[in-house]
Amino acid sequence: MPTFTDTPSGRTVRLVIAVQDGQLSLVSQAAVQLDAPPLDAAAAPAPGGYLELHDEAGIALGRVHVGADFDGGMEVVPEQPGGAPAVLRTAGTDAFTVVVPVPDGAVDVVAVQVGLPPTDGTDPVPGQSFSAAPAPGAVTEIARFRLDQGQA
Amino acid sequence: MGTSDGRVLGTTPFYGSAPRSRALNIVLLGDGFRANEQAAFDTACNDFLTRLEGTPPFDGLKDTLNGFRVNVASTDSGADDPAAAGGTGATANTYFDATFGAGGVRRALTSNTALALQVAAAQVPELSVAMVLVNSSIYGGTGATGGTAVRPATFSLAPQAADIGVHELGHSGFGLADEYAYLSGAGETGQDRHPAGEPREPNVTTTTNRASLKWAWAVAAGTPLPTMSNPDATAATEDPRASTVAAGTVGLFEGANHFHSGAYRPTFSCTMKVLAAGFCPVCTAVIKNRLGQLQTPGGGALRQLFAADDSLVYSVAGNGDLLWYRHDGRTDGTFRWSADSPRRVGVGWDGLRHVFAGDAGVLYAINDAGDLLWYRHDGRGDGSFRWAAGSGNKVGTGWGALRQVFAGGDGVLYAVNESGDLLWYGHDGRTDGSFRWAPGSGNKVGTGWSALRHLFSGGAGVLYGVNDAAELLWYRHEGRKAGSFDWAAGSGSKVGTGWGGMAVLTSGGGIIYGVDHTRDLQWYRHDGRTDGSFRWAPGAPKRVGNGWGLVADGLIYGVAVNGDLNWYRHDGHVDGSFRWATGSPKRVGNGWGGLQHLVSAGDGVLYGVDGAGDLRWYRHEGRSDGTFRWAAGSGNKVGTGWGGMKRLLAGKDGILYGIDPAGDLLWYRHEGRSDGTFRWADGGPRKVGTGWGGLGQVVAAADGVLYAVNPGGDLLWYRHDGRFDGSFRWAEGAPRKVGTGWGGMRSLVAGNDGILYSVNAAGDLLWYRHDGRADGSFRWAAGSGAKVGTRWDSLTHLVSGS
Repeated sequence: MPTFTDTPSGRTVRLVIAVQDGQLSLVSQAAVQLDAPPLDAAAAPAPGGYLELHDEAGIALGRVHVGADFDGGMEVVPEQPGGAPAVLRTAGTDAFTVVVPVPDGAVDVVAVQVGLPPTDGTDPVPGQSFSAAPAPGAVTEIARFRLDQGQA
Repeated sequence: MGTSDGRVLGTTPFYGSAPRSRALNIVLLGDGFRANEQAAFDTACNDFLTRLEGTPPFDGLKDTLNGFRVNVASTDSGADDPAAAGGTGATANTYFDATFGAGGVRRALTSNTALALQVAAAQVPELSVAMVLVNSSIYGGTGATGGTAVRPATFSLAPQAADIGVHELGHSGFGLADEYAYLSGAGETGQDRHPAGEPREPNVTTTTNRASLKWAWAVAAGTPLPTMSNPDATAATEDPRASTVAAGTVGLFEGANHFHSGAYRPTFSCTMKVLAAGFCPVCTAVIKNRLGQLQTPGGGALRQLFAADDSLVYSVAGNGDLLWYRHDGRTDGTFRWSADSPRRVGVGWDGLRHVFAGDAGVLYAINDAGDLLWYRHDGRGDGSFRWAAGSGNKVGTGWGALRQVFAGGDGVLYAVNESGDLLWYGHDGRTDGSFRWAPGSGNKVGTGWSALRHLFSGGAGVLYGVNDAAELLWYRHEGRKAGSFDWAAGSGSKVGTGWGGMAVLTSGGGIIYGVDHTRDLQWYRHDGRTDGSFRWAPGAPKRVGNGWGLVADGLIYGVAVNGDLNWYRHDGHVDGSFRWATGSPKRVGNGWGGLQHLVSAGDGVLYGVDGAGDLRWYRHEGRSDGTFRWAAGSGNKVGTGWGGMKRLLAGKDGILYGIDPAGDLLWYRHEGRSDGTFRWADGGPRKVGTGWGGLGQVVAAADGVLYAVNPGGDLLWYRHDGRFDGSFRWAEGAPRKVGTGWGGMRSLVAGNDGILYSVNAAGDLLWYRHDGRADGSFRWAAGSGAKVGTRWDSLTHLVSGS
């Protein structure tokens, strides 16, 4: 039977972040009612750029992958329409947005770059499948932003 | 430059009607369009969504797409085109600062994407993808290099520039990687071999192990892995060869994710490699899986759809949510909806059999018990979740036995009873939901109305009906105020043709909306509504929405010899044409081979009798598009001792019939049909017929109609008028012979609206439409008997899903 009680959805926030010459800035943050994928809580994330949510003690509560890096490369249409595009590494400008679920206790959003895991210098062997738990790559903090508690 | 060079005019949802929280929300922003050039931007937005909806697999997922355009007036027209990059040297002051020539490459058209995202997120907080369309005919565009965050693409109006927008959807919308084997192109270094580690994206890999391959499901056993390897041992360049295998082969093709070697893509070509090449099967599956999750239970289809008299449209979604929409383009048939449409204004409406709008915010619903319930949506002006006190009040009983019930304005309700009489009611308690009715309520004001397939009101006493010839007929009830038998001259006039197979809803003032099998919402305005003349608004019909599919008709389920349950959707079910949904059949279940009986009860509910004689309940949530999604509780045991039945039949509303070994027809009503619980109507089973054991094929259709083939091959028609309470009442004259020569049929399936399918001795699937279904007369649609399929004799069970 019909009911008339609305059900609040999860606690999520949309972040808009700009990149200019390698510097990240938080353009906006706003609560949004949207189903967001759960945060990745793996101890050793794959290489790439991430936004992490940290608590007051600086502990990462989870992260979301946002791309390979924050270098601001762009894809450009092919010379001939219908062909293959190419990547242009230019002025280092970029902007992106992502919706993240906000865990209890989260106070900061931290942009990090996870590097490639250390290798022994050999190429991968064809046919070899990868370990489920690769060695962790170096984690470099790129930027840190305060999460607006009122908004989130 | 920048925001001082223009202003945001506003946002218009111009495509789609999916709830924003469960849709791919595509936000298009205009740059370099002056205030008087906004029409060009509007056209470009329409063109892009039209293109996208025609691109597989989005063509089958239209009901998950929403398009929003953000109109922005710039000071100047066009974009900067620096001479240093080979351009004209033109400059333009625009809101998002669009410019060609980034990095010295003229076709690299960029914009202030941070500002674009800021505006897009402010205008449509639920955005999934944002794109900037630049008012220039020069070919150019850029997008992101990958990643799962949303990065805007920027492209011009030049033909094929929008290709990059579709490619970007692969990144931003679905987390797909680039499949091309280089970064910047010729002469590059550092892209020889992909680094160790498995990429996170679903469409590129570094492994060649067949067993652990991400897309192993798509690789044929005979396809070698790797399928193509880069012959350049140094990997200094990408593999320059053409494909060495058949087009479309899925395997491992070396060169992907911007590297010449060490990484593989699933197919030789794909939109993620070559723009406009078409998405490969792996990327297609990723997109379908993602959007399939967004679809509302019920496959994105709506359970009910109706319009109110003040530009409002309501729907009951597959998950039972009541959704509110406001059509701002109602008077002229333009594709303009309030920016916040749709909004959820109620939950749990899927338990109601029929919902329709009265006036001044009043909604009526008929529940399973046949009660008429009253609601008043006080939040109708803004789509808020506010309802009048007393909403849900019972204001009538016994409405379940009526064939068609609809509101006629000013508190008047009309209904057609089993005899085809049109009945009039005046609800005096309509403003407060009280149980008060005008004197004369229940008066008969017409006869012979059961011959009309769809019946609806146009307001001010005007009624419309669609007959079996798909004609739209006009009536005006002069006696609507007192419930008398008075009709305007000309009532019964034909005012339209081709209205068959259409779900129709009206909102007064001559406005009629229709939804056909394409799921588009079409707008009509009947300018001859006051006198019944054949005059319509210029340009009607106009498409004002898409993705408005009601729970689909034409569905058929069949159990294959290996026990798989196959789904089919016959898109030609209205006229018997040989048109089937893309991808039919689709496998939607397995292990169905051991059932003794399988029947369909509508709304995706199937009942099966297993080997132990237990009755099992299932509800197929993916019935509209054939996806493998089932309701929780599917497979529940809801009855025992059904193994002894010779036949099992399912009508609507939870009514089941069983033919026992003695040939008696037994009636049951499953009260738990919506959730698969073990609840049954009191007093069942009830014997409602005898002598059914000697019949061949027997099937139940809608509205209590049963069809049976007797030993002589005659097709017999019955209508069980006592179906709601299990009483022994049948339509006068039943059974009636409505066909001959049906004896050789292997299977008989009954859909909605008189549609029957049979499988003949050759295994052909034949289509019929019994236009005399309401009264058992011997009338059939032209084309009945048309062959619409072959080799259907291999299925062990065959049932309609409609």
